[in-house]
Amino acid sequence: MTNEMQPMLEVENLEVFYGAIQAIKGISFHVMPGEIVSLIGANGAGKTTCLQTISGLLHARVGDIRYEGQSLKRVPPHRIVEMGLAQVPEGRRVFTELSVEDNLAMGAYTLSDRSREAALLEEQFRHFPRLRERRDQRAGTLSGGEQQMLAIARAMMSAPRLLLLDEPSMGLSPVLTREIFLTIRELAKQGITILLVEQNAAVALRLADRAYVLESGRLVMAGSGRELLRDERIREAYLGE
Amino acid sequence: MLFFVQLINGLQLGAIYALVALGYTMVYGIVKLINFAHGDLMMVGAYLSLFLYSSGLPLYFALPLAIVATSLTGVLIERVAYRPLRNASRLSALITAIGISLLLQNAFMILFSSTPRRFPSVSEQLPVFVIGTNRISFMAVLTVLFAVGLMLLLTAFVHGTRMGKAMRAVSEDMRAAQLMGINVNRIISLTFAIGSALAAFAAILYGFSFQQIDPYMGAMPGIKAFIAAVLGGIGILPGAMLGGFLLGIIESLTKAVMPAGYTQLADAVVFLVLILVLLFKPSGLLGQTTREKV
Ligand SMILES: Nc1ncnc2c1ncn2[C@@H]1O[C@H](COP(=O)(O)OP(=O)(O)O)[C@@H](O)[C@H]1O
Ligand SMILES: [Mg+2]
Repeated sequence: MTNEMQPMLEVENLEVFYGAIQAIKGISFHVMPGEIVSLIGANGAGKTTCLQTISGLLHARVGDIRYEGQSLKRVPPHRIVEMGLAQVPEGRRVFTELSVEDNLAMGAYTLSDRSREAALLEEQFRHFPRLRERRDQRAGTLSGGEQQMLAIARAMMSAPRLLLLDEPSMGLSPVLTREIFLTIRELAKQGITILLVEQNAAVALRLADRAYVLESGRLVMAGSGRELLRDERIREAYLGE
Repeated sequence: MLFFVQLINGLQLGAIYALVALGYTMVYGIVKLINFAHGDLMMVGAYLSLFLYSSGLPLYFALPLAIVATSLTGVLIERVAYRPLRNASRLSALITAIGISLLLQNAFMILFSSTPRRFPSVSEQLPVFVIGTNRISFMAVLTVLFAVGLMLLLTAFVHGTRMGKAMRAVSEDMRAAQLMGINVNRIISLTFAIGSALAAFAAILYGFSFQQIDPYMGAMPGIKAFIAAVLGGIGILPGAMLGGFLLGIIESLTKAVMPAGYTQLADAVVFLVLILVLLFKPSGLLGQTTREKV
């Protein structure tokens, strides 16, 4: 069944450089519609670089990225969002000077239909009642967990079909991490395709349909979340067992 | 009583600094560039106003047209000179800005010669207030009202509209703004457009207030407006306004107490203010409490 479908996202032979330093050394992977795919790897493996290249903030020297069959090369970042591909960046990056509600409005910047925006706002508030309570508060005054919720809600305001998340558990307590991951699963149930980047391999693998392991800019392993959870090398290197 | 007159003069001068400082601070807030050519855009606005008026257009048509043309000039400068350097070092962008400043000054010197030109006068048509023994020109009042009004409009825009909020978002985190689908280039162009239009407003008020314009007229007010922006806290809109007015008043009052022939020293006092701010409160007067940036 899935074989007949076209991948939602296809990354092909990608190479990304910072000046002379090569951060991504030729990786290929794909995400099918409706899947949760995790990309795990240690600090500095190239996960953020990979997501930033997909979103158009960085440019690949070699290779291609296709979203719903269309190449994203030379597509500016704001167009990529318009096409339905949103990202929750590493470190949340909420606009601290703007109110919670204005942060959400920025997420909907590409929408022209105001009534659709209002409906999406209502949906985020239903998901995250805490954000409704704090809607007029400056985002900088929120706690780390609340900022992460805001960052996810803000990305959801563009009504994406594919959502990239860069280490949403970073700096959060186990309880909050659990809460965030339940939210991600909830989004997937609504039909949103997820590409999740994590250092926290245990939770990421448990959530994922499939996962890839990135090491120093190369993909070294791939498989279903369950397979990788059982893998000896993974248990040793990423689960600390 | 002399004090009162100098205070009014200071406010009038300060209003002009404030308008130029608003542009400095907006552009700095968004691209972190000290646009040294910004003062010269004021000169461009003054010449365009005079040129369009001299070519026979009525004032109420010539001035808005000059404001739009100055605004487009600012946008064009960003497009051809600053945008290609956006990822280059700050120093190369700064040097480019100084280059643009010299380019504008010399281009206008070649076009209009360095002889000062007379700006059209409107003060004869305007009433004069008499308070006690002091005469206060309506132009001074108008200049201050205009500056304050424009700042309030700008503040309303930046806080109350979608584009204004996008401007604040870009100023805080350009990459995150791109991930929201904000076309950052368009927001930067808009910032230069507004900043340059404000410089043109300042130019017109300057022309009406002081009657004389020349190709280098933007240099000194440009530097002083920059100091005003730093004094108020660079990147902060109300800070630019506060800094502009304070600087105008300081300059005016210093001139008043200096013995005749030494009034040039007022400029030195202004630079002293910059040094003191950088030493004791580098974030500016409003730098800590209000962290509103654009
Ligand atoms: N702006 C940059 N300039 C130079 N090197 C960078 C930059 N950002 C990341 N790198 C390098 O690229 C590699 C991958 O980094 P990154 O993608 O941030 O990894 P991860 O997200 O997996 O921690 C690292 O070696 C890092 O030092
Ligand atoms: Mg990272």
